[in-house]
Amino acid sequence: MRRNRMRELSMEVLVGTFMFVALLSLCVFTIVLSRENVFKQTYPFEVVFTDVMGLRDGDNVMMRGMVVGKVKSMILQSDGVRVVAALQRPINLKKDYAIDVVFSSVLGGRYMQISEGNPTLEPLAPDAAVKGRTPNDVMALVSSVAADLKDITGKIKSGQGTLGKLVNDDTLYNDARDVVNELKAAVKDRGLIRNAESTMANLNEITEKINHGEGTLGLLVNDESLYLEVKQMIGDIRATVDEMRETSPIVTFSSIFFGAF
Amino acid sequence: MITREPEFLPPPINMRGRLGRAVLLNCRNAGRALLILLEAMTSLRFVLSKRSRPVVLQQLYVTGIKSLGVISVVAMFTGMILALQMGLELRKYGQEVNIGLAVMVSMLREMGPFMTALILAASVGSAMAAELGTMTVSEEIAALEVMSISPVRFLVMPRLAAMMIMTPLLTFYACMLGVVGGAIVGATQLGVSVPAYLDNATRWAENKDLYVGLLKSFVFGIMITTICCYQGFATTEGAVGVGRATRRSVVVSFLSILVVGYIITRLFYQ
Repeated sequence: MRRNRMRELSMEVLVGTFMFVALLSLCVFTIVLSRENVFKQTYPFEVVFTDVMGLRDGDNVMMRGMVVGKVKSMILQSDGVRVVAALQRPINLKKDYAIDVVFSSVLGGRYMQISEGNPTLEPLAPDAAVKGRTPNDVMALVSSVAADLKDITGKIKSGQGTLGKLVNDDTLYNDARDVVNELKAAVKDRGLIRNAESTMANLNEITEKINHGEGTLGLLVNDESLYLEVKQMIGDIRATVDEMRETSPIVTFSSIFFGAF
Repeated sequence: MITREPEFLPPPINMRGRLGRAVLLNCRNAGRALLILLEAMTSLRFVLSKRSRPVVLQQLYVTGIKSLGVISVVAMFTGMILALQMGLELRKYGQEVNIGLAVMVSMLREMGPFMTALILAASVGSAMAAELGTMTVSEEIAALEVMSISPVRFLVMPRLAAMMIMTPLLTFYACMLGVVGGAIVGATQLGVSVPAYLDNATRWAENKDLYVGLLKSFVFGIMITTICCYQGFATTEGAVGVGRATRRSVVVSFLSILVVGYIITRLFYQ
């Protein structure tokens, strides 16, 4: 009897413990998924956007790349959407502040980005309405690019501009084809080839003679004596000029002095 | 009245007759099962009575604590498989950190309730059908009715109460273990740190995912109890009949879980 009671008691303890732990975890998990920090003080922050581009409750609020809060709720108004965020710390907006809704990745997701503004400027009045900037509509940008592309391709198709003429006008192609044909004809001409061959043979002969030191050009290239003589001559000329420069004041003075008599 | 005289119907004359009889018999069985459920629901007010309390406790223990081991292994490996399969594909695009989201949402919405219900149907449900089937063929149920003791209140109600309480709790436990399994695979095989995994997992999942999953498992718990208890009460032809009732209870429970799971998902996610 006592054994049965003990068994029942341990069963009660096990079942009770499991249920208590599971329910407690469920409560904690619910708070985690609701993304609300019940143990920290938060500061409400309201912004009015004309369009929030799919921002959702619970999305991050970031400032200088750091998460500073979460979007708590959004209210549709006649003049736009009022976004209420819960910030972890109060922020001081300056007059040139900027608040945007930004794409967090290519795959989707948004966050609200706050730029406080220049710290040297005056702070925003406490009762002033904070307005967010109208976000760039990516699809509108894509549509605009597509329209530009359509315009460009239309011009090309109708033969406007350089690219259009290149695509539509046959003149350049015909000219290029003529040049190629002329080159082909020139290559086929035997006389021209013979002349080119004899010219090349002559050039070959001349360069061989130069290499062997034959003729004036060959001697100039291969014989060092001419170089040495020219070098010595230049040295002599430089010495003569220096000497003349040194003696010229004396000569001038003598000619003036003796000229007086 | 649970105990009934055996029926001896004339054989159907053709294919159409056989089909018609099968449809009618299935409708009648569904109706009887629903009546048992209604009676059990009305008897739930006695769940805390002094006489019912030990039985309910026993059923809570069998359903909850005795199933923890199997559910732990299945849930952990389900999370690990999900993380590995999705992580390997996502790694091609440099998005392996998103396995947290994938595992958490799949476990909360579908895999958690589904796996838990299948395990409970296979282990607890089949045991219910076998136990009640044996009691039926050995005429213990008839004896209870002779003594004016309602077999539904005495046998079905404690099981129903235990399944209604334990299935959502076990589902939540399975979901959490699945997420832990995903974190282990993420950290050891995909290079996703545990904080990054958990941050990603909790950033995108919503309370709706959790509570729709728990509602689903609550409905599954009621369904499994009703089907298995009915199959137990409807057992005929001795030991062979008990085996047949057990097998049928598991098969019908599995099919019902799949169909009802889809319907609930369709209702909440459109």
